[in-house]
Amino acid sequence: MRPVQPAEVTELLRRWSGGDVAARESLVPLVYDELRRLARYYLASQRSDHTLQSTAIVHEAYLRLAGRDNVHWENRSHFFAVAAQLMRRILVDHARKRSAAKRGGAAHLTLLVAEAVEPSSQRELDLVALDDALTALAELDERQSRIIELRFFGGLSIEDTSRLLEISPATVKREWSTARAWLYEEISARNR
Amino acid sequence: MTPERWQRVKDVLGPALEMQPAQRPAYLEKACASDASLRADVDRLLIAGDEAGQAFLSVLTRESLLGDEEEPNALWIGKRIGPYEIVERIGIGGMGEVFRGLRADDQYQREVAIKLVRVGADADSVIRRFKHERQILASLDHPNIAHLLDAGTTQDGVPYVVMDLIEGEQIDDYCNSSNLSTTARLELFLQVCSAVRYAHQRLIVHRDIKPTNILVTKTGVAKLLDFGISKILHSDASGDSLNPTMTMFRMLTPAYASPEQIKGETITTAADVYSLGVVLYELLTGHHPYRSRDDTVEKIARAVCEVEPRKPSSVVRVAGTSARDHSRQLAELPLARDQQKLSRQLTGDLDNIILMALRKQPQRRYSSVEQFAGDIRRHLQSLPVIAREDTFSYRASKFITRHRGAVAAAVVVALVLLAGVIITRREAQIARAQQARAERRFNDLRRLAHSLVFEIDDSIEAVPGTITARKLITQRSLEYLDSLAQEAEGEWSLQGELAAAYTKVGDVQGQSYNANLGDTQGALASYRKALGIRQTLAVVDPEDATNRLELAKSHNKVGDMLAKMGDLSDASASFREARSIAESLVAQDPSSLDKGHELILTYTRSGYVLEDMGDNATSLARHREALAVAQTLITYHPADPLACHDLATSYNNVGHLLAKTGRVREGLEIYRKGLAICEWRSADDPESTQTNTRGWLDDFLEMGRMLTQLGNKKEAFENLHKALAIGRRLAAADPQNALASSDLSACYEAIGDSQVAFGEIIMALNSYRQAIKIREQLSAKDPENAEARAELASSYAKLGQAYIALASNARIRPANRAEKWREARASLQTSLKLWTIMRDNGTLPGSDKSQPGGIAIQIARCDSELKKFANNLSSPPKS
Repeated sequence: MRPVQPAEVTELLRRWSGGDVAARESLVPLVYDELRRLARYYLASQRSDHTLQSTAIVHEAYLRLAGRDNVHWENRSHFFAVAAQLMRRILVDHARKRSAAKRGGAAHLTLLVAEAVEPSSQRELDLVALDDALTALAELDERQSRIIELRFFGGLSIEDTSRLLEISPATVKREWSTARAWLYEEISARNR
Repeated sequence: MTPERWQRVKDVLGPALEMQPAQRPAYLEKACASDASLRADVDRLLIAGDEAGQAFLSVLTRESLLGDEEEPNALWIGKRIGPYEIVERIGIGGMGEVFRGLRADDQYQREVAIKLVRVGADADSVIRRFKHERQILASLDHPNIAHLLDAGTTQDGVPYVVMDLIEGEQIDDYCNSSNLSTTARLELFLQVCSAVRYAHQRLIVHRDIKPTNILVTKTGVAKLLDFGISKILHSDASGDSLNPTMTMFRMLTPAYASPEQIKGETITTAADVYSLGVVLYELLTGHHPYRSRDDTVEKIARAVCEVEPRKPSSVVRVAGTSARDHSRQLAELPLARDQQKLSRQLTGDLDNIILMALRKQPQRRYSSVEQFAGDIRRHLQSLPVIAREDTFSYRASKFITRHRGAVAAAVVVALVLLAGVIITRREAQIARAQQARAERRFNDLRRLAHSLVFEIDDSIEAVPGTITARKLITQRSLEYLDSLAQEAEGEWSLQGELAAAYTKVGDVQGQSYNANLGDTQGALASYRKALGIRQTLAVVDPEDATNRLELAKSHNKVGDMLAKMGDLSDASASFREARSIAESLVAQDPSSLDKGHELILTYTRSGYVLEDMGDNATSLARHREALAVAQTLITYHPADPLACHDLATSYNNVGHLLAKTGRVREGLEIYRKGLAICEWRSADDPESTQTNTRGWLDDFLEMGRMLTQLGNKKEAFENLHKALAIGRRLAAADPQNALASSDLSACYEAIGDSQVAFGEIIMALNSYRQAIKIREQLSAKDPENAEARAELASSYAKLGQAYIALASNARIRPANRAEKWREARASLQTSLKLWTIMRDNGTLPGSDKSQPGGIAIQIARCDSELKKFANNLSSPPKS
């Protein structure tokens, strides 16, 4: 595999920011490979907090591909927009493959509950179901689905999301919390 | 639900989610007005939102994705890797899988942990680093370090490490489940420090110290795992690390990484000091200095670099009042522990000690783990610590703790306090001044002692022909060390470094048994400096086994130099000191390779000196003691090169002494045992080191001598010529190397001796002359070296004796005889002159005491023979 040059990625990001759709097409495979490689590593590595940090993966991919000095915000947010979509695809593909290989049932992502009230409140998130639910949400409200994708899979902060989508942080926050409620209900209903 | 409907639901739901539950009914009443189905949808989603909690979609755990793909790798179970059979999988970690293995061969049974290393794209470089490091890591031999037993790659190219199998609990879990007091936690932590310090002295940085890497056995012994592994797996040299920062990011547990590690800057021992600080923080408070449960890796990493940690005592106090915020971690602390009391314990010294270890800039932390541990020890003994601000109340309170009785008498309180303040002020000033000095100078020392002396010298020591470069390094190093030694007086951690540096310099100057510069006097001075420092350190901390071992080594090295200079009784005294220390160390820890080796060395060197003093019987006894220790050691370390070397050497020495005391056949037998080990070793390790090669030379020489005594001419010369070939090769490779030259001269002399024994006198003359030529040069280069001088004198004597034998030979034509006697006389005269110098300056070895007298007699004989010729010449020939 040919090593990717930061300058090359930066150039693609710049052209894409300028409206060049073909640049985006060239960028996707590069980012996809890098994310998949990193995700594999993350999945395999031991961490004391046992959390999968998609944020960290995406950040690392960005730094590796675009270089440390590339702090131009437009480049960065465009990159993250692509990366969020790709991360979703990588993780969901992974979950699907696993469930297919195993028992044909749903794959689970263990969900860590921050304020543990009781042990049973650790729930497992069905990543495949989440993917389906997100697709359903996109039918109702595409922007909202996108916000979840950017935040959950891309690890974007509320501020970054608001700048990228050109809406106020308060709106992002509200969209985020209502979408979470909707998704939770949707997934629960599917599992029932 | 339609998009339009969802918009309406959302408009009501959004604000409701942000409200307190109590406010919701009134709001919903108004917002939904009379739309009951809207209200039903919103209610349902509100419940879902509450149920989801903050955690939903906030973090993903990795188990699920990892899950079955990493299903026990059944492929490995039952397989063999080297002599180990894989029994079961016991864990999985970032670096790969860990198995329980069983070493089951004829020799012995032993359970081990085998790590199969997962390698990705940079497999080649990992394997390369692996090979490079495993020797160093295997040499780490410390009671608190899980010993690396073996490492290599499987047939499929998977790197593996075999380590001691440690059955134990993670240190933080252990502290909590055993309900340890703060003092007990500190003492346990000191064990960890001792392990890290030991490794740092060998310039190995752990780089990944964290509670999961520290296990505590049932008997309360802390064991540090995975030393140096992190470097092997994640070297910056791997080419894969386009961006060091982020490479760090994924390799580390950022919660325990130092700021410089996160930033991808140079990593030194200070990084381990930092990680130890984090571990101690957690052990004592139950909290991490930065992390809260739901922090992201990024957040923690940023906090590590930017946020000043809170005082441990204040964390405990806060936690005590609002337990809910830290529910999980706090719950792990024993309930019985009173938070207020804990907070009081931590306030002051421990706050300062921990925060000093956690400073952002490496150079502002403790300059070494030893200094860190020293402060903890001082705290435990209620002595002033380095890490704190000097205040009146602190000094006074310290003083009162130490002198409770005195202070109790009300009348003297004021006086005592006053005196105490004066004394402790001074102590504090000294402590501060020392610290400032240490901080200012420490990097200088490191750069010099480590880079110049350790790294550069080590890297070129094994390269033949580098003596000149090493001489230059040595000279510069000494100048610098002397000035540092003055400056660092009383600074314990620096002293240890200094002693190590002096020792290293001494080695380069003149260690007897390796490549050296032939500067005995200089080496003795350096070793004595190191010895002095070690003795002081032993007074400061008599329990410090590492320092005691170093102390024994220093005695041995001083003894070596004295023996070399001919001061045999002082040399004996040095070896006696070393012996008593080493014997007690080995008694405490009989499996330790380091300690055992040092004891063997001590016995061996004593044996050599006794032999020089002419006491062959006691010398033999010493070598037998060495052999006994070597035989024990080999059972613990069956494949270790050093243990094999020691065993072989011991056999050879015992064999040599037996032969020398007349039991030649028995000696040869034992000697062959030693040789068999050497052969086995060198077959095992074709890249045999210089020591091995030298060992071979000695062995061939010795065999040659014994076989000569037994009259086996053919085999004797076979062995001697093998020795000569090695000697020539070594000397040619490094003409400046005094030891190699000395070895070569010994070969010539031994050949000469055998030639004399088998009646080949004319050949012997030539051999002795070769030996003399080399020894003249050696002695001129190092006039203080009594051994070199004695060797030269002995060669001249032997040459003279060979001439006498020739002159006395009936087959020599009478006309040539006078010439032979003159040659004999000249050689003996030179020899006598050398022996006389030694006798006069007190460096004449005991075994050579009779030399001057004996040679004088031989000279007298030459004179009388020559007189006959003179008479014959002056008197007219009989007709």
